[in-house]
Amino acid sequence: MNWRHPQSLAWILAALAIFLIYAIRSRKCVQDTATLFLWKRALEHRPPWIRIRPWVAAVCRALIVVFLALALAMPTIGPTQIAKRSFVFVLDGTASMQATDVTPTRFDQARTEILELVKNLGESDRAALIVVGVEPYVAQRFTDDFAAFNAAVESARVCDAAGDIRRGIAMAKGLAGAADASRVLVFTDAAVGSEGNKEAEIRVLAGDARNVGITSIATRPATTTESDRGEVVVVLQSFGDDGESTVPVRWRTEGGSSEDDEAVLVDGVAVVRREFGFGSLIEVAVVAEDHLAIDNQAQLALDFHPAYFGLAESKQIRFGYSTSANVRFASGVDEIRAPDDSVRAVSDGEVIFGPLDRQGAWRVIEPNGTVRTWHANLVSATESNIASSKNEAADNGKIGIEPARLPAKPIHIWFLAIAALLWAAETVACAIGGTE
Amino acid sequence: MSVRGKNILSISPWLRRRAGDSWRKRWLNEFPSLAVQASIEPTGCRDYCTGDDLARVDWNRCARLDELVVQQYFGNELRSLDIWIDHSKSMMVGDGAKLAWAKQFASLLTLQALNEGESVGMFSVASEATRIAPVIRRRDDLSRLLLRLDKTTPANEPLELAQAARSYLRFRRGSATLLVLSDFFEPTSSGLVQGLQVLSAAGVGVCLLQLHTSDEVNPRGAGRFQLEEIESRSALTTTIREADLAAYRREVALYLKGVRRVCHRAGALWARVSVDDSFDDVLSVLTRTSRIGRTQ
Repeated sequence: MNWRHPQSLAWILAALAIFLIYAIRSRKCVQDTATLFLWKRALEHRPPWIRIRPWVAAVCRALIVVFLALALAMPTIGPTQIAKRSFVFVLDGTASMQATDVTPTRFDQARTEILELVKNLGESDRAALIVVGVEPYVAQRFTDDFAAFNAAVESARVCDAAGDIRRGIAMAKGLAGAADASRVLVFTDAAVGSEGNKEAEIRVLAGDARNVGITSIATRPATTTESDRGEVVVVLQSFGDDGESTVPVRWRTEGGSSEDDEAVLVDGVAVVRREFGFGSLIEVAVVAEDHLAIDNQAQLALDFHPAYFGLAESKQIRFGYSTSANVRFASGVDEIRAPDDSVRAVSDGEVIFGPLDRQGAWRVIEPNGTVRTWHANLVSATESNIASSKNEAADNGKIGIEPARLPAKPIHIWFLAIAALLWAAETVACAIGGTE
Repeated sequence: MSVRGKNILSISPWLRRRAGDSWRKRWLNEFPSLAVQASIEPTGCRDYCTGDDLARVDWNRCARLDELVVQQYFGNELRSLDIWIDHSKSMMVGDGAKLAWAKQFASLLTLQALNEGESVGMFSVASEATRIAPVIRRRDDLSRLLLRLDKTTPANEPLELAQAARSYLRFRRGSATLLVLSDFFEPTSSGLVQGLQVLSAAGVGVCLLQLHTSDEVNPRGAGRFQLEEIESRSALTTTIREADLAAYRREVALYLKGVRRVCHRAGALWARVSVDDSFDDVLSVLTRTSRIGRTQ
């Protein structure tokens, strides 16, 4: 309890003075008598509480002054310093967090909520941040420098690939286990469920999502007679309850004109195909508006190995596509560099598989030194998040953090009320007891 | 007029002046047990006192003795007065005002009785009656009696009227009249009743003067008090209100009424006297009381 005007507490001395004056004034007078038996007869029918009534009244009067002095001092409760706490924030950075069913996006909303919660942390608190992309990683270790923590949150980026939020939660639990009074706060759109995650508090960011995405793209020799052409096959899938029955699709080749097509969804799945000439860089896009844009487009380089297609051996062939968060490259690639310029794969004519862990421009370096930029942004793992998060959205609640210092609450009105009650009690006591 | 705190001897001249002429007229003649009618049979002589009938002066003896003497007749010479002074601790309430008043009033009565040729016996009474001084018959012995009376101190025991009556009967002389000066404040009236029965059975004429201070019957001032019984030292700590004072006054009135009723049933005279009353007023009260006593 704090006091805004502690000097007013000096009035308590007045209460003490009142009580002392009463005690001195009412100090018993010793008197000899020969008629004590008559006094006893006269007083025996008196209510017993009459004896204590003067003291009750005196105590009431003193307490009235005490409580008025306390009220003048403007007492407040709080702010209360809460004990040291540790928080591990798990931020889902998988591709589905780019869905716009939550404004502006799920990922941005998650970051905003984390930044808001961090405002409630105090000097003795500390926080850590784990971002779950293709692989979970610690973006910020435990720190009480919340400026640095906020910077880490701000710099976190969502990837275009799928990831496993459960691994991120497990990592957070391991991190929190070393700290006392720690909480794991998860911001995701995945259907994690509470089972097995009792120590974690899940904030599911999902709305009424609608999405039609490209889940697969493949090539094969054209079924036509033209031997220098190949066929590109694209699989579309509708996620969400209100899948489109027909979806407009647009084909576009590098340097060429675009062509529109229409995919007919049957049980939420559609397959579209089209033939292109070798050497084309083909881009296919779903034109329909939905809440997740990144799976609406796929690129494919249609440079096929001649042996595979029965062509001349001299024709250097390479192909690659990305799907289901995997990138696959055929021969003709010397090395693959990630957006951070690290070498992730080196090929010697073999097919390379590997996960993409970040969004960005991957560089494919050919043996002759040619560098081709490859935007691997095809995501197919979003279906589980989009679909399941809709079910959990109904019972989803925000995560709260109690402020480290609760705001001060004035309570002087309570002291005034008590003083009023005492005044009433003293008045009643005097009225019933009569005068001395 | 209060005489509280004054030495008896220092005020004895005042007592003599005040007592002067009023004795026979205002009290003794009205008191049947004291004013016994004298017969015509002479029994002796005594000094002349103011108010004596000049017809009774024994002139022959005056000539021989060179002083005024009057003849005594049968009846006069037997008159005697015994005075009880309650010296229990309860008489010390109010700085001993009741005991002091009793001593002074007893001195006044003694002087008057001696003037009338009576003998006076004085007793201090608590649990039993103790003679303060031998019976005196002359005014020359008065100073000796007053000295002893002044030295009478409060007893550390309560008044036991029945026991005191039995012990008194050992000293009793003839048909002496008994005047009791006491406050008679007792939780029960059994002691008073028994005492009066003992005295009545012995044929003693009794007059009770119940003394009290004004604070005892009409206390004033409320507040917080510790009331201590002066004899038993039992205490009662309480806050006294005006309503309590009124209730106490009612209890005192009831108690005094009860004492009066007991006295009348026993054939004793009773009067209630405050130590603040003047002696003249008390004598008037006694006169009225004696009249009431005779008519009842």
